[in-house]
Amino acid sequence: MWIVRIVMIAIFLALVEVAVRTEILNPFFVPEPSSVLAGMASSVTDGDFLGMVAITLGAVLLAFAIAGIAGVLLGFVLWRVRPLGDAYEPLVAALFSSPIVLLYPIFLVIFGRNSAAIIALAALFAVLPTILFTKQALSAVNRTLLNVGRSLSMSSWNLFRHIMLPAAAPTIFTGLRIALTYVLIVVVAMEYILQIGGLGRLVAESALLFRATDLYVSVGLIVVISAAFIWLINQLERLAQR
Amino acid sequence: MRKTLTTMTTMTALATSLTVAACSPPGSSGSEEEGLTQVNIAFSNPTIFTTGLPYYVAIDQGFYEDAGLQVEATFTGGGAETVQAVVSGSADIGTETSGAAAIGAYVEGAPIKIVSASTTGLDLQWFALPESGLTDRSDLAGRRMGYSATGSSSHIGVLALSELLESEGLPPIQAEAIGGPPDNLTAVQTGQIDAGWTQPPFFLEEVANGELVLVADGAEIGDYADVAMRVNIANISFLEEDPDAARTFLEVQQQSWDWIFDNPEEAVKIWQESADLELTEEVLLTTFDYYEREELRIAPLDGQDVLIADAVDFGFAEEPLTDEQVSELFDLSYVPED
Amino acid sequence: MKWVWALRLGAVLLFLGVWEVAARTGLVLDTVLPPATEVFGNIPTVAGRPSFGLDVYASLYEVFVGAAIGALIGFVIGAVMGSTAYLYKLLDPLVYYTGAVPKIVLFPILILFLGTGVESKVGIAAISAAFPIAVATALALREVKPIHVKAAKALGASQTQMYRFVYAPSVLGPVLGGVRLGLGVAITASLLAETKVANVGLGFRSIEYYSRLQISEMYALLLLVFMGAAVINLGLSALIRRATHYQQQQVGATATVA
Repeated sequence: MWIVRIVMIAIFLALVEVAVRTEILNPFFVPEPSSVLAGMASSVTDGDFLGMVAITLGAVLLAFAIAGIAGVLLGFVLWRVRPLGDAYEPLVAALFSSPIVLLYPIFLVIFGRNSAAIIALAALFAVLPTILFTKQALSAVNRTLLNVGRSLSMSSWNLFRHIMLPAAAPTIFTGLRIALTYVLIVVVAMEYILQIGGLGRLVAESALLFRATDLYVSVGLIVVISAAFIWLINQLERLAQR
Repeated sequence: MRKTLTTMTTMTALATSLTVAACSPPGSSGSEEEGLTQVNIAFSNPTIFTTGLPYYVAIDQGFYEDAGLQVEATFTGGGAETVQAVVSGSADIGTETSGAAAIGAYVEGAPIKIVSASTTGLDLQWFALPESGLTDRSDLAGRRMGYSATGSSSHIGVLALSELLESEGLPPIQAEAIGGPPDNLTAVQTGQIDAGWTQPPFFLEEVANGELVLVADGAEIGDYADVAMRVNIANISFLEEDPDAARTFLEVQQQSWDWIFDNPEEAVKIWQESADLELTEEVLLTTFDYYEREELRIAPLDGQDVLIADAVDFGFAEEPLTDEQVSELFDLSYVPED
Repeated sequence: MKWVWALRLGAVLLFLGVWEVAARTGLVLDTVLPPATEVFGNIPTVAGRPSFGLDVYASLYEVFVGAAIGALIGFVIGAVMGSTAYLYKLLDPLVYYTGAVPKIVLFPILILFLGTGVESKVGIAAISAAFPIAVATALALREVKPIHVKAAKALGASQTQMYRFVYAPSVLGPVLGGVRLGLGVAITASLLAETKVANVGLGFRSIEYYSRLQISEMYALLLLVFMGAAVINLGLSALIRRATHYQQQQVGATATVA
């Protein structure tokens, strides 16, 4: 399967390469894929580049940790205390679908013009889907399973640990994966807009310096890192489901 | 089965595309008057003396119309963003564009030419809050200073100052892309940066009554008095399609500046109204203490070598331009002869 | 039921109350958070400015035209993806992984191609919206229950009847869900892009207020933006509920791709 996909991508890139070399595509706007790939390869050993990557990764991981922990806890609370859940779940959903990211100036003022503001904003935004998915997951646990547990006189704790959690885990993981996606998006977007931090800043500056190759290299790196993260979470999910 | 569903979806797709085509984009002022040539220009920070005023005056006094032009302006964040607007075709001409940004873009293949000088000398100042304890430029070592956008003259100023301080053994300056003077004030007041840039007469009142202190002046940052820090650039296709429009525009620019210096009080009135400024006309008039007509000349363009050297020095270009490149980039043939 | 509304009202009042107190007692700087009353008071000022109408139109244009184009692209890609099981398995991970990329990084490229005007914002909105819509469409096509198809055929349904009573209803729900999500990301994408490179629009205007230290006006404008987004969302949700009252809605797989 993957071979087919890689071949598809390779063919596409080859076509672009030809187009750029024959100047059908203006090389000022689109550099040769071969030089972009070369740039990506060399950046892996470039200290400066790696530093940028580290900054972005650090921000992403921290924001994700905050959003994940807080989100699961709050989602649990909303599930456990029914009236709270009924009252606030729609509000959380509404917040999630609104352009919260536009509130970034507030964070700049509170935290300063640095990564802390970005992490806070990303965490705030990503906590919302985590809450929603966690609550959904717990609510959707099959009654039958719970009844079985109760009929076996399981304690509340055991009920939770051995029945609820495994049953809810897949959906919770989906929520976490979504949260990670959003954290990544918000972190890079903010780095780009504010021109601070790591990879997002690199994208902004490459664009402003008209370095098309560097621009596409940073974008390419971001794609690779996103893919790596998603893959990682998928693996963790598989592990947790043993 | 699946194929029928596929056709269904493609049909819906077609339907949506029709609705899309039906909408008219905003800002498409279709009122192109008869006989006037449309020229799109871009510049940053329209409230500033050197950028917005000639444009506002030319509109108010009908200079563009008389010359057969209809000029529309797009405002950018400065520096390379103005170049971006010209490169992408959103603007035909970029006024008050940083020379370094233009050089850097050209080197990477941008289809632009530098057609005239715009502002000679580094006319910027940096301010800070009095409680910051910063008083002169050496205090700025290791601090955060604001500039407008990558490649702008304010950016060059900060980089040059940092280089100067480093040569004195002090730590470099942390430069932050903040935006125009109001953005810098916000950033300084909320502690995001230590010193922000401004251009007279903005914030001079605040300095006079002690709310802000001036910590650095363009004049003490290197030898830029005879360097055309900001230039006018144009898109190559525009120049090829309508060279006369370019020439006419530069003529009007010249005319505008002449008028401004001949009629300072009236110019200030137009400035205040068009830019919706809160400053009084009195304060605005003090701007003329800081500028001489010569500094706003469009020709000759001095300091070409310094601009190129800076571009290389600060990382906007990898190596100095060859003579061929210089003559390709710097094309002052559109400047009116007088 | 009453509890629910009481809790919501309570939370809102508490929030407003804390806000007002914190701002007025100087607990929080005026430049960070002006009092709630001041912000609300500025709403008519902000809405009354001549630039407001144009800003609203520009932003709405970017969002809706962008979402429409995104839907176009999304439908087509989704239709191709969902047409056979093989294509679905082949393409879904690709779409999935590329969907996780922050689309704003493509904005500089779009500026080069489309310029600094509304077109580049329409572009970024379209690209952002295309992903959830593509995923939703593909998923919806895959999930049409064969048993329904067989049953309808067994009852002698014509092709038109198949479309009307089997395919369309089955596909509609998830696809509309994808469209709602697509609209949501289109709003965020275009407004965010406006804060970076633009001359008009609600995102641009709010940052302009911020840069002139007109903080309470910025908040007022953002409040209006949020209310507008909420209205659009609620409207679309209501529409979806009516159109698919025979199905249940769930936070589903479409939310995985933004």
